[in-house]
Amino acid sequence: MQAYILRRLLQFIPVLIGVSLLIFILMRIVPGDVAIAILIGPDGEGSPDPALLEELRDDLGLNRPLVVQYFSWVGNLFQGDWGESVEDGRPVLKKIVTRFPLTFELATMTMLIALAIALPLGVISAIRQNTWIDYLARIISIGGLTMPSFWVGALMVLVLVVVFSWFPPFAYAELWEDPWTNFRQLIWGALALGYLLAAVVARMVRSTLLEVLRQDYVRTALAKGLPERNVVVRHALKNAILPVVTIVGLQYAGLVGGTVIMERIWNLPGLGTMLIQAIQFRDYPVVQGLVLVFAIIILLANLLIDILYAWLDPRIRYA
Amino acid sequence: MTIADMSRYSHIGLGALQGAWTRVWLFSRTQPMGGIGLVLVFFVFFVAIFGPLLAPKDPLAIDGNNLFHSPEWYKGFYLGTDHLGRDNLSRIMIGARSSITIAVISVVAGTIVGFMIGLVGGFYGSWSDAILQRLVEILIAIPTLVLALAIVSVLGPSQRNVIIAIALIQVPNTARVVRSVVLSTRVMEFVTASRAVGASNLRIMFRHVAPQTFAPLMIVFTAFLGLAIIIEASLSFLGLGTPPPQPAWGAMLAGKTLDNVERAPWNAIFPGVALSITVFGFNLLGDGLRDSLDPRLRR
Repeated sequence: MQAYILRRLLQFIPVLIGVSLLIFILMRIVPGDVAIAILIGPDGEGSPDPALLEELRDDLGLNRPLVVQYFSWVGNLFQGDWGESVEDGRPVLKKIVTRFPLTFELATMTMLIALAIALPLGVISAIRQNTWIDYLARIISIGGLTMPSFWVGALMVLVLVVVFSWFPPFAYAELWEDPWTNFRQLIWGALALGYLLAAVVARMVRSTLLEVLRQDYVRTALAKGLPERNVVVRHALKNAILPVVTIVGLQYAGLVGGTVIMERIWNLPGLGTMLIQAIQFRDYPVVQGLVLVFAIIILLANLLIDILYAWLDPRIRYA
Repeated sequence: MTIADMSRYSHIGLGALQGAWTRVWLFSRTQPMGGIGLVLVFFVFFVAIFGPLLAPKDPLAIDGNNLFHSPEWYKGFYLGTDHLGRDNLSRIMIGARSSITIAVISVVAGTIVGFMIGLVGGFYGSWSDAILQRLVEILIAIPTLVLALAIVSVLGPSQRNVIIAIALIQVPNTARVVRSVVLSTRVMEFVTASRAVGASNLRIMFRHVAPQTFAPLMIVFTAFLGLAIIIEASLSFLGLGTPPPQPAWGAMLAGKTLDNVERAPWNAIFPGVALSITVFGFNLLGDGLRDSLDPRLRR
């Protein structure tokens, strides 16, 4: 197992190098160059002052050869120097670290809500296949696949504001400072996103459980007189849940980037809002740092899922 | 039922066109949900193509006397007006065109590139496959919307750049699907047989292996059209899609609409309904195609 984890960690390196190269190249294909883009701002008009331009290019290291730029960027990353935000001059890494807890909390709440909806929905749908309750469950889940997150968010705003005349607390409160205000600010985004995610997970639960329920050992268990409830929960679900773990793990990691829209709608100062702001301000050091963080989270999640897999299923042993 | 099964009934059709209609009919009979999806997709394409002719008003015309006018069909305000008094129905109809155009072009481009990568990588294996697989892994490591945002932020918000972003997101998914089919097909006996009679690599690849990938490719293609529409709308919702004042479904739901949701709730409803109907249609069609083309799911 340790050897496996070590090998997986080693495989990490080329992908990480690839991701860093991709980000590096992305930031170099900005029309003109990053410095011009930053100076002319979001409108993309006018021409920047040549002296300022030269200074900024020097600051961002754009005057050096590309290879040198890349290696010094990567070298600095390792030393914790992720560059400085163009907008306010603060270190990018520090900005990301302060914003991360909110996004992480939102993603976790979303995931818990999604699981609470998806597991019962998927199981009921599978054990009562092709009955009205299955159709209802499938309609609910296809609704989640169909509606874009920002529309669900907008509808939620609509219902809360118009029907209940309720506005979420305006100023953002940290979890440990004022948990109740914090909860009221996050729950709606988490509900909207959780429902959408539940659709994906419920479909997966349904289809894997259906497959498992058709296997011989399930028939044997039922034939020897075990109650259906026991067979489903203790025999079938254990096997059916494995592929679901993959989906849930990947979605969870993806959520850290997927909360962008909910953060925007509910005005939450997380990584998503930070990304949008950085894009509007053409704050490329921040954009590049954020994309890297998202990628690292997803890669780590992949690794964790594989390890979890081996732990959950004794048949899987990584030699 | 599969396409192969359907072809048994092809004698019913007298000409090629009739044959096509028969297939559509048989598909809808065996996959009723898929049939509904097909109807919805047809409807959306119809509006996208003929929208400018059908729209009751100029979608860009600002009407200061009718800001946030509620929907009253007998006065000609079918779906109400937005914060500038522009007609929602017309804007949704014109918005359909840009939405569909962006989705179709980007998915076609992404499919072609992904198909080539998957085909070549899967067929030749070794280093070309290894490189392509790493490339796919790298692209998959970045969340979809974040990647799209990053690309659009670098290239600037415009329809062309949105297309590039969406196409790029689709490439790895398509490549993976095609590659897995190619890997299992290239070791089949008919491939060995054609090699034995002297067929070249290129011929085997395109004449014998490639057609095997078309069914799964069709499923991915349809399913991704729905996703492409959502990504496009998300980008325009965040202000990075089709630049204003051109109508786009995502942008119609953002900004002033959310700020004035109490005053004009219809603005937050109708563009979303249009979006959902479209995506719903593509999802149903994709599911129907999968069920009818995947032999394992045949009932």
